[in-house]
Amino acid sequence: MKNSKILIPVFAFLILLSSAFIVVEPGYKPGDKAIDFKLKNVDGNLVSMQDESFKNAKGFIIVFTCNHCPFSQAYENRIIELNSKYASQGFPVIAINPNDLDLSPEDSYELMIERAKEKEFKFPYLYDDTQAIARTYGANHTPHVFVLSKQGENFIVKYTGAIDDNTDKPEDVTKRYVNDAINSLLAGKPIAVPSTKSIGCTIKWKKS
Amino acid sequence: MKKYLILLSLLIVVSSKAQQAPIIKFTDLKSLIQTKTDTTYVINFWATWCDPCIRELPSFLQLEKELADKKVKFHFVSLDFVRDYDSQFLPFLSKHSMNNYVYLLDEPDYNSWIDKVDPHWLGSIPATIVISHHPDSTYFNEGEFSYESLSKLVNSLIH
Repeated sequence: MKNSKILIPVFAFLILLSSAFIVVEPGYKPGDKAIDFKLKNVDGNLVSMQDESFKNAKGFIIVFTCNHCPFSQAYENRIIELNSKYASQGFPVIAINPNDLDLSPEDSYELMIERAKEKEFKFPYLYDDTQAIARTYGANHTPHVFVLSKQGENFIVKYTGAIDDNTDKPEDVTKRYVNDAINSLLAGKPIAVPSTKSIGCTIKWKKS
Repeated sequence: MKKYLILLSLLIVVSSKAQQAPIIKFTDLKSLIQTKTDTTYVINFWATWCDPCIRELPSFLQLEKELADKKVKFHFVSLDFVRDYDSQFLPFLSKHSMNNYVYLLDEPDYNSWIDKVDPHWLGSIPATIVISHHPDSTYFNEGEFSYESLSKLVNSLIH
């Protein structure tokens, strides 16, 4: 008891000290309002979520991805499937390549065009050449998904993270996180798993 | 006799291969992370396809050599796909003379274990965790390490 007078300031100091170490991770969390963008598509046109062609969209599946990364490549067919399944239900895919051209020459705009042709992408494949969108969204690696829901003029983040729980073997997938999130949104139900983590290729950030 | 020798050497190659770079599960990694000894552990997550991982690798191998007589162990946990074990992973190891403490982590449900390694890990590689037990401390770094910063950190933790 005698020591309690000393202990209180010690505790207060410890609490203060520990709070100094709470790291605020950058980027969007579920519930955040996402910014729109105007980025160059592989067809040469600028694409924004407010475009007339998206006027019926209920939201978007934003996928930060690229050409060179084996994890992105492993998911390419599944990204195509997501778009063919959900674009007609109001959730089209928009793929965005955020990698710096100097650090990752395979992810150049010209090679993006080639890749989109080869794989017959039916969705925009945009080049985030300033990396501002990837930075603002908090994309960490490729592929990294953000499911957005359109609410009036706003785009609200509903899910962030992995596409599913098995990168290498699509046949062994047991949890389809993006599908589950969108199915819940379409059914007006809360999303059971609103964010996940996965391994991917580091985004090749420009050297500052 | 020659036949037997060939067979013997083949057996040795096969068995040393298995010991050299085992395929492990998260439980194996967990026991590694939770081992409480006076040894400092540097656990590096990497993959053969990951350019920044390959760039930082020489710094790790150099430091490992320099600190060979100290109580520090370097472990290299690859996130290569299991199907690439023979075609990419093993050839890479022999090319870079990586002989010790190299693993391939076969645990595809990343979301189930990333936070258990470190909650700050967002999922990109390279990522490195340095664990020391006198006193208990853990340092986590997501991204490429320079030789200088890695050496400074590890040297400050070994005894």
